[in-house]
Amino acid sequence: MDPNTTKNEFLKKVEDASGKPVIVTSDPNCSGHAVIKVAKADQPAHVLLYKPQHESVLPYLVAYQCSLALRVIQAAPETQYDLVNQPDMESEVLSLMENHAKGNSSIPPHVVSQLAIQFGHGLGWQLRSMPIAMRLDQGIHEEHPELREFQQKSVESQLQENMHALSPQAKQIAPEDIVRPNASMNAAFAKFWAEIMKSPIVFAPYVAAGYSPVASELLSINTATPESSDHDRELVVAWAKLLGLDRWFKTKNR
Amino acid sequence: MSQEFSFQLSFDDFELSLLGEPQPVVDSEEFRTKVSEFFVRQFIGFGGAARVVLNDQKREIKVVWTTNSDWGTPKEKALKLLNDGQIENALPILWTLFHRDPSDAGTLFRLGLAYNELGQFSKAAEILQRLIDVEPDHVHGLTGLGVAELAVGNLLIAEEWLRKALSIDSDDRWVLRNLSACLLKQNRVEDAIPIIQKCLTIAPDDIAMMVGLGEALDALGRTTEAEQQYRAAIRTGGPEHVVDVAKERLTEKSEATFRSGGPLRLDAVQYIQDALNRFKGMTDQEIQSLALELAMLGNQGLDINNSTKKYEINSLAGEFSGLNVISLMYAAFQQFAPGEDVGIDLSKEYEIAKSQS
Repeated sequence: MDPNTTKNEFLKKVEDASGKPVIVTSDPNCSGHAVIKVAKADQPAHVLLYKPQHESVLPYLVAYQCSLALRVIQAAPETQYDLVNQPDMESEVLSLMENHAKGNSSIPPHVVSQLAIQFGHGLGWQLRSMPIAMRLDQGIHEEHPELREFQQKSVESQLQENMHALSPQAKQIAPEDIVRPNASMNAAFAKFWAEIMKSPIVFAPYVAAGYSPVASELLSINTATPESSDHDRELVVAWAKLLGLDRWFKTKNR
Repeated sequence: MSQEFSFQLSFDDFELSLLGEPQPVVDSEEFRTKVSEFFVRQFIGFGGAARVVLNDQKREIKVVWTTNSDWGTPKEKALKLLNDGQIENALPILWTLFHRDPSDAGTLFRLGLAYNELGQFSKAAEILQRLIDVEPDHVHGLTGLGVAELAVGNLLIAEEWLRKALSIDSDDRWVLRNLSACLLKQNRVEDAIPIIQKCLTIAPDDIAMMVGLGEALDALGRTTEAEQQYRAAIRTGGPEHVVDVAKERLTEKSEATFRSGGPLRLDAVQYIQDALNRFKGMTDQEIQSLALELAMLGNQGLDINNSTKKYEINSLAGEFSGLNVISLMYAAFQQFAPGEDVGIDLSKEYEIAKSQS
């Protein structure tokens, strides 16, 4: 099938399932390569934003974001959940950042609180999306060979971005308590793709940095948790516990 | 996979348990070697190209890889950086290659040369000594070793390495060049001259050697032959700073001859006086144009000690001796750029001429 046809089919699936259209538009400021904002009851349309520089892989980005939206829209109401901050998350991350910034010329004092918010929210977003992302990606990879070229290109770009988190420069900016869970999740993502792409080398950086055991443990949680979206919450909770992120994040019924 | 991937890891973040028992101490040579080997193992069977660079200064490991077939190997990359003069960037790559295969002659040679270029001569000597252990007849390795020893003042050891290189290839201009420098540093001018002359038969356009030969001949009082070498260097042309040295030597010689006629040259006083009178009828711009023309003429070499040799000046009628031209030029420059070095000091003559005009 033609990739663009597949892309349109994914959009139609979301529209059929929700009864609302999907507006696809580029936005240089959107978080990640692309994001879908699922319409709430009082909103007329879903909005799928993508960064212009990733337009060349748009069929894959649309397929992925629509798969994510369908997982939310089609989930049984009693299994729907949100990931929220624990009461002390923001103050604890800020305190960590303040300590890390002391005598650290890489962090100007006026950006400390801004970085604390960015890192805290970033970890939450990663925890909420990464365990599920692998499941969606595996589905797209297996069922839509026509999208593989786009998917691979997009994933490669993401893998490269993630590798920066291992660098000494990243460690200068972020404290260990932020770097470690972030790199651990990235390691699981890399190990997952190393197997799918039959390219173990993309996992080599994490092996060298000692993240191999935690990556294996995270992936084994995915293997042990049933595929259905009904178990997504359980999956995210298990990742949070293993990574020690349950002190900052919890799930609650929607 | 077509994208280029890269990541950096601090030495402190490398998982030591991956390096086997006993675990090496971070920063030790064993650590670097084992880290390098670890990544080599990781990339075995990988279809693309990879570079692993250990940066001792930053204490970082940088790994870059791609499947792109026309991406250079680490060796090619290092060579390109060296050719581009980016020695400091090439060094970590060479160092990593060295740890991967400490007996690779090409790597040892380039690493030794890089240290020589950076002025780290003891490191260069250590690496090049290893090269000679691996490949005793490596002419350029022996030369590099000679250069390193020469730079730190071990002149006899340097000579020994360079003579060994010469015994393997008696026609290598770089060996000859460095051996002559080594002999000159030992004030063994007579020994150096045949070496320089041989170098010039192999590389007749090597003007640095012409100047070197001129200086050696000067040192032995063979001034006419020396002058011929300086003139040949100027005629041949080449690196500007070397040509300038040749001109400087000629000027020194001319001035020495010129001043041998007495501390004050009245003929020059007269030429300057004539010039100053001439300038009274000229605008500033005309004087500057004249000075420029005279400077260009002077650049070709003026014989100020031979009054029968005449020169023509486009903007002035008649013929002029070398001393007249240089006096005119000196006076002209004094009008708008008194600090300019015109190659001869006629300040005494100028002051007298000025007071009388």
